[in-house]
Amino acid sequence: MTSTNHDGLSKDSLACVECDLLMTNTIKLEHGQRLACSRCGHILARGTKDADVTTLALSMTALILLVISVSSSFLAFEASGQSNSISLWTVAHELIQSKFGILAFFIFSFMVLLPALYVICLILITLNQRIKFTTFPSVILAHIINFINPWIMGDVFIVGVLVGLIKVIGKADVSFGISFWSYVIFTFVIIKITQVVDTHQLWAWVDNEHE
Amino acid sequence: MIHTSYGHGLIMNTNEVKEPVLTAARNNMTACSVCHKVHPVAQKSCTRCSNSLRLRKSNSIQHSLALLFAALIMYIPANLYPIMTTNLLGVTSETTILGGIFLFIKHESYGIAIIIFLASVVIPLAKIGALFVLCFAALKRSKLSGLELIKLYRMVELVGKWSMVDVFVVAILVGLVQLGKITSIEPGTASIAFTSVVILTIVAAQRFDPRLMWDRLEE
Repeated sequence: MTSTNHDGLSKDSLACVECDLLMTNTIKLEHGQRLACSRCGHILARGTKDADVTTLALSMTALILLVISVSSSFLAFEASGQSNSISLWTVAHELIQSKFGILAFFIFSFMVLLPALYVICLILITLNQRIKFTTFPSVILAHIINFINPWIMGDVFIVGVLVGLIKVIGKADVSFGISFWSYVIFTFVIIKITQVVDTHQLWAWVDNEHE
Repeated sequence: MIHTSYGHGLIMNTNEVKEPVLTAARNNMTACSVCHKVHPVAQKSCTRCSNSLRLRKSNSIQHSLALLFAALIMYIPANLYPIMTTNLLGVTSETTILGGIFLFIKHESYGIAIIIFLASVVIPLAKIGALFVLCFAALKRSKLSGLELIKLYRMVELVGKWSMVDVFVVAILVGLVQLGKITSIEPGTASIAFTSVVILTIVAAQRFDPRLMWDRLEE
């Protein structure tokens, strides 16, 4: 029933990362099913049908949305006859002008650079699953994806923008540009991706590539 | 945990003797901290992701506590220095995080005041406090149950990055409001200090190994 590899360990052995409970799993997860630790409830794995194709499609969508976000107008601002339209680059530029370049670096990383790297690595790792040759070793890609995961703050940025705008709304006419909307949709796509690509799924892809 | 109190002449009621829980550690096995694959403890590196294997994250409590203290220290300049400087028709005013909250309350924008208060005061302090509780639970057996502790841990992980809201608010306002001499907004030192608090608490939570808490509970 359970096969053992040369370590003498059952191939389906799982240890909960939060409470160290040792479990054996022989069930293949159906779409929507979740595997949880029987002691602490930590969700070890989620089942998604065709996870690699889904992730590939979502990641490509996310990348396109990100490119749109970076290259179009984010907000347009009009007050007392003066009008101004800013892009995400303007935000970074103004921060650098104010001698707060380090802030620009972190903010841009959390909202653009790291999510972009995350999505590109996901595209490559899911491509590895589908095509005959390896674009880039999946192990390295999986490490990068795992590392970047906690640092994606697109959703926090959008909330920050909305809060900031409430402050300005009385004094000026503010309208949202294409970049804003594409970034909002990008945030939702990323949330969906992080649901599908959990640790279990990610490293299952790595295992897959080696077989 | 199995208590043996025979030395005191007490005989343990068999109903109170619990079976030791089957953990990986008891079987001399451990899960890789990166890819979660289970290996025998004797193995040095993970066969799947080449990460170095350890029974528990190395020096988890020391690293977490050090980072937490650093975050607490950085929280002081984050509140003392201004988070942004507003230049309105030649009048420069500096706003700190707390000052900003009071301003919002004064202008009756209670909604934003609550959001900023939650994101910049409650969440960082609650997160640091919660991680202290968790670190002590990993050192000495806690009065809280395993489930309560682990729920606290999950809360901490979930809520971590939301403290960055205030920094993003500053960033967007700086980018938006630059009409030269008439009105301009500049970021303040507190924004960097605050970013560092968020980064330090996220890394502190990452370094923490929750399995240590369960180890103490089982002793």
